[in-house]
Amino acid sequence: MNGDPQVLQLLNEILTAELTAINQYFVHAKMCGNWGYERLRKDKWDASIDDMKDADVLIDRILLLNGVPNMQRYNPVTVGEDVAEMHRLDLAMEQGAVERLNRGIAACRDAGDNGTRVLLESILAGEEAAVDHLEAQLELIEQVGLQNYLATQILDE
Amino acid sequence: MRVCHCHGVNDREIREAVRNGGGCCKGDLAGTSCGGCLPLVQQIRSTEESRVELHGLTRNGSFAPEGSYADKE
Repeated sequence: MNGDPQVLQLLNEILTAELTAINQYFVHAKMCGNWGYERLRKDKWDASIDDMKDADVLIDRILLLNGVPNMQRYNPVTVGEDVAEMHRLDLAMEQGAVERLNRGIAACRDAGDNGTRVLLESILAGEEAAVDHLEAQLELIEQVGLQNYLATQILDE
Repeated sequence: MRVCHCHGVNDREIREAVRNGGGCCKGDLAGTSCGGCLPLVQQIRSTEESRVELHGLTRNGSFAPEGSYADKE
């Protein structure tokens, strides 16, 4: 079935953000693993996988609406050089996603495409959870101190 | 934050290259390969150029006048 052109453009914008997030979380996971923070490695890896699942359903939706999923375009992949910077950059990325999805949900409603709206709402729930998690990490660093926080990230148990 | 992925250049290194007048440091390599980071590199460079001009920062990033004891080679 043919999708609204504005909705298709929006879906590709969200897909671009998801593909960017996959790579950003992935390289952050690898860097944390290289430094020995196994818990953080798993954390960021799981976040990358979650965004792959989002990309999966977005691509399906774009194809359903007879659009072309753009697999070539990325937003800047912002890579932190220490753990706190990684969390800050990941948080900024997720906050951008929440804003974009909220805007998209409103646009879908206006275009009369509630199928896409429902899909974006389910993705939004995941992104809000990610924002919550990252805010908590930064709050922990603030409250217990960076060294104490990092010591809790070495073992994954 | 890593800005140029091709050359592994971060934002501090770009600002340092601007303060050193260019043509000398790793920061100069930023944006010279795939070009994906150029918009951000240019933003960092122009912000630092304005900062240097406004505050008269020297090569080591301090406010010490050129040639003073605090302005080391």
